[in-house]
Amino acid sequence: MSLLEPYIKKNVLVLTYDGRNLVGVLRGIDQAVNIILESCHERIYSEEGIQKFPLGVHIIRGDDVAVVGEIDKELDDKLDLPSIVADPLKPIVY
Amino acid sequence: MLPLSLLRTGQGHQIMVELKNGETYNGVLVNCDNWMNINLKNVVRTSKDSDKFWKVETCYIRGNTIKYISVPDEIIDLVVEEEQTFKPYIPKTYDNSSSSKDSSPRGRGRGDSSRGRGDSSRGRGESTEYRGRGGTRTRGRGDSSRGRGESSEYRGRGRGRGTQ
Repeated sequence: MSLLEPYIKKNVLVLTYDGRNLVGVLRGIDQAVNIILESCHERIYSEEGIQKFPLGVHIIRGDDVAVVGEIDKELDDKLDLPSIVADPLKPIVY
Repeated sequence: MLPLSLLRTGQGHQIMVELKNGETYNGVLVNCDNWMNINLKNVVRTSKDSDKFWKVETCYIRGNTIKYISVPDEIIDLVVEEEQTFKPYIPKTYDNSSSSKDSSPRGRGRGDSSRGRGDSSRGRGESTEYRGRGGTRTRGRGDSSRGRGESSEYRGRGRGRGTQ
């Protein structure tokens, strides 16, 4: 039905139009690409490395979704996030 | 699970809504619709930079201004139950309609209509054949069909015969 259906109940990363980086379990989607993320956290990129900010259950409006990607959990667990230093994404201007 | 059914399940619970302009609204979800328009009560509105706060009794937020909504964790478990009660309804209605209501009457209907067509076409066939024979002047039927043909085509002659 939807191209996002294979990602349901899997760990996904969502990039939003305002440049945020959200990670969580994809629990639901609809026609408008509204998305339910469970056990969701935001990864905030800064000079002190990547910080995790827990958010719980989030409904993200489809308008704001730019990218959805599946996360390889094994690979992701190996990452040492606080040691990764990168600039945050800029918001998409439209 | 549909995002809007999760939202609907969250009615009566405390939620946080962030708008596209960065403002956040914390309040109790009173109502929502299929466009994600929502009604909140006992709201605290926070400015984009989290430096100003307003207390609002009730407010309505148009769905398309929303960036995201944060709902309490426990609500996602309530939705699952709702979906399980919904799911059986869909196949049941389809089964009933296809097995008893749709298929069998269709069959009957086709049978009747084809029979009907058969009769009517036969009828036409006979009338045209006999008209032809009527032209060759066979007995009985031929006369009657000739009568019809003449009456429709040559009314003048029909009257003429009446006088004869």
